[in-house]
Amino acid sequence: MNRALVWGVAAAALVALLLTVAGERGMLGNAPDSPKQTVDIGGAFNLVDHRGETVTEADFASSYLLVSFGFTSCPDICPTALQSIGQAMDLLGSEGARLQPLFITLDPERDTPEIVGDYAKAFHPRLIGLTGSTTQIAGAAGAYRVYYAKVPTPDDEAEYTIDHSAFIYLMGPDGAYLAHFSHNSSPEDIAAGVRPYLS
Amino acid sequence: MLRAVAVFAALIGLFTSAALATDIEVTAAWARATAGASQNGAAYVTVTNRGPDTAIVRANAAVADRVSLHTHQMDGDVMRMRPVERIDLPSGADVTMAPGGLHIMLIGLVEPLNEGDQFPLTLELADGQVITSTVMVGSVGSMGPADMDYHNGHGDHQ
Repeated sequence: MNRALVWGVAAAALVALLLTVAGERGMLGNAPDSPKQTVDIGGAFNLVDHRGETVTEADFASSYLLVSFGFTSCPDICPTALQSIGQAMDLLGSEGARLQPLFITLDPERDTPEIVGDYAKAFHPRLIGLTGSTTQIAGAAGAYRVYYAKVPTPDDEAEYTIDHSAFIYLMGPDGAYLAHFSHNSSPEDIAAGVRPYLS
Repeated sequence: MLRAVAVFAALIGLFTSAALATDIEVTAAWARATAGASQNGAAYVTVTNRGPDTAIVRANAAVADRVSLHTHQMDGDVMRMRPVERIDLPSGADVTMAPGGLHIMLIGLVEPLNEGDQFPLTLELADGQVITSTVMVGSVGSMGPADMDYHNGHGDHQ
């Protein structure tokens, strides 16, 4: 068989593979989830930090926010998302100085300020965990259009889990929605998606 | 020479008996360290079934008050965690549990799990087999056994 032909076919296959991988990873210019139009997500919130102090959007007036929702009894999805956020912060390094990651619990009954604060810190020292009254949490979740519902677990009446939508939102210093990521976005995807807004 | 033969024969015997003892092999068992004061944890295993179809019907671990089999269902944009009655182990297949899907939920941890800890996990199968494996605890956000240093020779095939 013609050796040059074999190499040619192999090279073409390799290029096709690389293009496919690059396309799937959003390396070809189609940045993840960055619509140009204004989206009505986010806004004012009134929550409680790990010290028990009230925190509102005004406390982060000059920062970009990376906002995620979950609950600390969630052993599977929430740690995955928070780990990715933490690693994205590390990847961004000093570029991320104006980016403030927030983790807002959807389980204010169990997640006290201390519990949610310690939980968030376990993933990244800059990650702030926030809780509040059920009304405060409902307000924040509503602003971000987060669906959540308490669901009893059949194997224990005292236990419940929380079904929830699990997007990660990037908000601008003016409070405007900029982009979102899914709970299973890689740290690289998050860092790459955030970076253009920070520079 | 005689000694070498004896050792060789002993090794052959060991491998043969291990293979005969069970067609089920747990090749990686891992969990994440507890983040903060979280009361719950999750363990993940990879199970290879070289025998007939069976299923995991129960799991037990002394590190938690209760242990149950769970999965995650993505329903549109909403994640729903639900208990499952069994985790099927089809003949000839590898079943790999991973974050975002099937997992063994550790409810009410007796003590927080710390990175580097190990603990025994027992799986009960539909055919009556009981398999105990050692779970390695990785970081709070570990994504799998590849993140960990397996000193016992398991789980290094990824």
